Amino acid sequence: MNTEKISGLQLFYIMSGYILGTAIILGLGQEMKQDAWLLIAFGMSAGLILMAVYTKLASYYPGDTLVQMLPKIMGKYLSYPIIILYILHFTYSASRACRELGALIITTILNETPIIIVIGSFILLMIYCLRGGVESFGRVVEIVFPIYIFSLLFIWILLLTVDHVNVKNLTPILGEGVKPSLIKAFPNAINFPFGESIVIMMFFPFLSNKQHVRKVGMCSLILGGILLIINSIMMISVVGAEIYSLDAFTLLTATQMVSVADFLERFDALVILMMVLGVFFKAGAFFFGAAVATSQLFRLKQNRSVLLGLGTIIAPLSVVSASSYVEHLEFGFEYYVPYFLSFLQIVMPIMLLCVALIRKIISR
Amino acid sequence: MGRLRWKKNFTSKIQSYHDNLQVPLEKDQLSGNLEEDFIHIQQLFEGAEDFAHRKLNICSTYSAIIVYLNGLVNVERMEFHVINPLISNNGELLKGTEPTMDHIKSIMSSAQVSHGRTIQEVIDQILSGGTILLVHGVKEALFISEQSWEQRSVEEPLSEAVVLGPREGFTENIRTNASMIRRRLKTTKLKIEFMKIGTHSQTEVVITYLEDIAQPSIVKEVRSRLSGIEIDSIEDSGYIVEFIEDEPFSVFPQVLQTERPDRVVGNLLEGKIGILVDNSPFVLIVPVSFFEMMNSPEDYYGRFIITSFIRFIRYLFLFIALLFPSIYIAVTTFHQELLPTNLLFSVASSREKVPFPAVVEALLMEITFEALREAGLRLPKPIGSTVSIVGALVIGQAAVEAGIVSAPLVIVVATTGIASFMFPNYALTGAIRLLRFFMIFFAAMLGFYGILLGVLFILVHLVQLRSFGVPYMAPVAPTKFNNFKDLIIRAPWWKMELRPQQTGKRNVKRLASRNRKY
Amino acid sequence: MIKVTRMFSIGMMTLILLTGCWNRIEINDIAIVTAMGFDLTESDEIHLSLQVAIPSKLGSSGPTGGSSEKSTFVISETGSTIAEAFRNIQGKLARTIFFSQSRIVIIGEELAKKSVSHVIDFQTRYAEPRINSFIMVTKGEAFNLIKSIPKFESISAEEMKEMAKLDVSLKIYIRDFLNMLLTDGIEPFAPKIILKPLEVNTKNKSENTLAVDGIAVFKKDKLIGWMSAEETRGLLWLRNEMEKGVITTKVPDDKGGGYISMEIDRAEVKVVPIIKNQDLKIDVNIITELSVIENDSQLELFDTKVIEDIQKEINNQIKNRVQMVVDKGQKEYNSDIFGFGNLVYQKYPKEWNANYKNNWDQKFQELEVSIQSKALIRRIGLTK
Repeated sequence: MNTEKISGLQLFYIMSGYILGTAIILGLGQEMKQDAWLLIAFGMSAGLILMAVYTKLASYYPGDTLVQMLPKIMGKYLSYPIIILYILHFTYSASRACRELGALIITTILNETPIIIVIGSFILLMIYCLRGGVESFGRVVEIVFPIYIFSLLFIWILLLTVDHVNVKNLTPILGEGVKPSLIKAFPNAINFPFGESIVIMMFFPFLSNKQHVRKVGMCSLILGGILLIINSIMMISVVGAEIYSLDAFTLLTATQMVSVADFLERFDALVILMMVLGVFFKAGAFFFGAAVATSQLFRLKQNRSVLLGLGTIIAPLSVVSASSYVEHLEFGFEYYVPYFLSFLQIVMPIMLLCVALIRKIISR
Repeated sequence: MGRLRWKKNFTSKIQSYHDNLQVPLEKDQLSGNLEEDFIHIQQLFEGAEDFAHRKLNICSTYSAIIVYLNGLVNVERMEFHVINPLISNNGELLKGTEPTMDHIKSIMSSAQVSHGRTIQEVIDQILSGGTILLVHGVKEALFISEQSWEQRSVEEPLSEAVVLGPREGFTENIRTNASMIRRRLKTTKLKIEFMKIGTHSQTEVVITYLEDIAQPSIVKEVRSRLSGIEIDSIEDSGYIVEFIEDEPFSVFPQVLQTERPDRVVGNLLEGKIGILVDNSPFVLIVPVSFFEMMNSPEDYYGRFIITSFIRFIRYLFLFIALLFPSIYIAVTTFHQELLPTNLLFSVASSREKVPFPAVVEALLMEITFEALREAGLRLPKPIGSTVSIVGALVIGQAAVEAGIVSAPLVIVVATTGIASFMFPNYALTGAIRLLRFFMIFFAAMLGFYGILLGVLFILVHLVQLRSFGVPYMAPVAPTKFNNFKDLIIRAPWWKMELRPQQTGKRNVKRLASRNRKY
Repeated sequence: MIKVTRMFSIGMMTLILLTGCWNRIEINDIAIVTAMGFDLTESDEIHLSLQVAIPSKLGSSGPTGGSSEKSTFVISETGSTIAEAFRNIQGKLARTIFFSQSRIVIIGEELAKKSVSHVIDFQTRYAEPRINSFIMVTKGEAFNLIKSIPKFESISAEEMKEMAKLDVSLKIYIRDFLNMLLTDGIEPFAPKIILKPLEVNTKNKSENTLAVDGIAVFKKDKLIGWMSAEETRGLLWLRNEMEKGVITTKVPDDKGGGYISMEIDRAEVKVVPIIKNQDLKIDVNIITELSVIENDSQLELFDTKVIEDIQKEINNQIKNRVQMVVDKGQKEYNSDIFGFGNLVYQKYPKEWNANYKNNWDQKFQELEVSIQSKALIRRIGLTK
């Protein structure tokens, strides 16, 4: 496994796509209505700080994944439960991304197809891709990511042609005051999707040029964040703040408004394409992270069988974990993201960095 | 379990035949006794009635014998350059001394003369069209190369037609082919390595590359893969392709087959390696990437702006050839909301009387189309056009009128057909045609989502492919922005300063940057 | 490696074999709905009527030209909810009802008076109907409009769509309606579509045709009244959507009488709420550029003085027109269809939340709206 390398560009694509992933379709910061984009901006800046923590850790333990550095920092016995928590996080998050894909596909285009078929076939694709290692994943992303960005830009251009695109929908900015907004923003906006970039720590050892670690991490976060901000601004301008805050799949709703010359309309397919690709980045990165973590935890030489095993877990998990999409979202944004992820993505890395610093000082 | 054991037995049985592929070599040396050696050779050729021989006396003293195969030798030239001088020589040179081959050589006016000592060499020479001179008392045989057999002259390549650009194509003769390459690269850096493959056919295979550009590791890999081939006979370079490909189970061609010397030379200059095979007008080029398969040699001769446009069209039609029928199926059976209202009405009205589901309809038409295409190819040329007329009438007209297929589908299939004729590479066309059916199944299963999954499956497969260690999707994945100058956009020649990085990194610069700086 | 490949292919095989075609529906098994009408029956049930296209009468390759035969038919059914009515219709139809191509939603007067929220909810929640459908309200029954016979197009729904898109009226998508419904400080409205006789001033009974004639004014989700076509133009001014239009002004008799008609080239409207000393005021500034297209008065237009006079006249006229609409909205209906409240919120969010949000109904009625108009005649046409 370790002989495979990905280039800085590939990792940059993976991480940017990963951040955009599901977030761009679902509509971030819906509870903030017209200030959603500010929430994203806030999340992005906090995410950048977190990324600095992650890359600092990576620079202390170059060539180690998160799972490999944990025992070195925390000691062998203390680290195992945490590693298992991270594996759970990656696995469950991958299954969440799949569930969101499934929900979109089922509610929009294939409403009679069993969701397990939609997710299962996707997981098969993921296994086939990751079986070729991180190299194969990186290369597919290299081809697919530009297409993803182009379709996003294309959708934006189309959205500008919609009647009554009104930037005034964004006003008043922070009408409720800064404080309540920040309180609403606090853990969720950081954790999703920016904090989730902790998975990048599973990729660092595979990077061919180690100097680029920080640059890649930061750039992908910034690109992803800026695109998300622009996107939410576009969405609010097109559909209005109220619908934005209500809608389950905002980008899809906004795209349905497009009708150029009565013929260039119904670009739903493009949104479905973006969703599939977005989840491909996201679930792929989580899936890969979980597979590497598992094989490193059990010191396996190859992770093909791990991939198969995880695949057979993720697919049913994404279906079973919530009986309805509402339950899925509720559990996600009221329990999983604020508590579980805050611990793993904010508290834990900062703690790790402190311990690592102390260890460094002592050893000197 | 039982099945497995059977399989094991079966394979081991085959293996017991397998390893005796090498034909035992004749190890005997020539004895010097003319009669004995000749009978030995004659026995080996027993039953081959094209085996010819002529006895003669050199300088009317030494008895000698000439052996050759009828039809492979230019008899006229042999009479003039070999037999005539030998017989008419007055013998001054040889007087008194034992005859040596050097003496005899000096009498003849033939240009290509060599000699050997073993029976095996003699046989090899006879079989490859040489003429053998055996002289009594000499333990060597003289090999005179006066081959001549019927061969096709250099013609315009059929499979890669161009409007602008050289018109000559390779022939079946490997010497002619090698000479065509040599003529275009007048440098000592051009290496031409001969080897023989095939226990029975003894087909000559040539590895050619530019020493200062090609990477030695790839050359070595080519050499070792070629020498690993053990087979009785090579009929065409297509045989070799399957033996040396990295992933033989892929539908995508990983070796470029070309009929054009200019294309081979162009590729050699990019650090590629050419493999010439005797009796085949198709030269193999390795390593090769997917995007090079999509290029036509004419791309480099025409104006670059127009070329770029045409390339763009070509990629567009790649998608049409691959996806159009499946998109039709997805849209008409899953996502009717994606069609503009009026278009939906006209599609719906034309499908109103069609008895089949859209998938069946599409499959029916696609398969018929493939059959037509195959029939048109296999038939003798004069009848070939009949097939297309009948096909057009049957499919285009009658089927629609009878209400068996809908008119929009005919348009779809026809467009797809045209699209699949657009690719410059025949092998790639095959891959796309096959994958089209694969995509139809995906679309019929899961609609647009299925198409997306199918395309992603193909992409994942493509990025995992390698051609002699070079990633198949280079320079897109892994991305090398420098090489984008010759991808969809073909930059003007004076801007393509660097060779492709994957194969040409040893000697990166291909032209000086001072071009057009006047 | 081989094992994985084998497992993978087995997985694929089962997938292919298992997947029947859950969602597969042939294009000739769907009933394409082109327009939807919603009415209220006397027993308080919803009466859903659908205009369904008959593809074989529509396509170019159809055996008949289709001009003599109808290319659509109307099917309707009642139910206590829309979904129920829709299910009841499905029971009468051999093909699956398919909403995605429908861009027209017509709501009957009675239903609109009761509430339109379930119509809007159905349109946005159910996956098939599109959010960019046009919503229209009719006086009387929507059913009659759904049944109307088209003039140009083969389907009357197409004509309605084209009509909804014309610049003379307001384009209201479901999106807009929902937005107005949900946003504080703005009340929804929708174009009013009716059947009008095709020819006027003739003695023979004329055929009826579709016409957009003013708007329907809502308060929350209930219809409370109508505005005429003329008043609607005032609303267009206020919404800054006046793009095409003709203004005719009467020349006073002492100057020779007669009329001058002008075309609007460009109109720019700024509606600005101002809070001064706790007093809320709405400033409306209208700048219009016009060109003369008809002059049957005695006035010589090639004279700046004359032009200025006419501009003054037009200013008054525009002011009156806008004032009339504002008055009607404030006094008669007490419905803030102009979105003044929302403008206040956008500019003064704190004050809005503190003072106006909860009693906007009352404040809106007392709101002071001052209108300034500046008309500029840029061109006087080809003749002097």
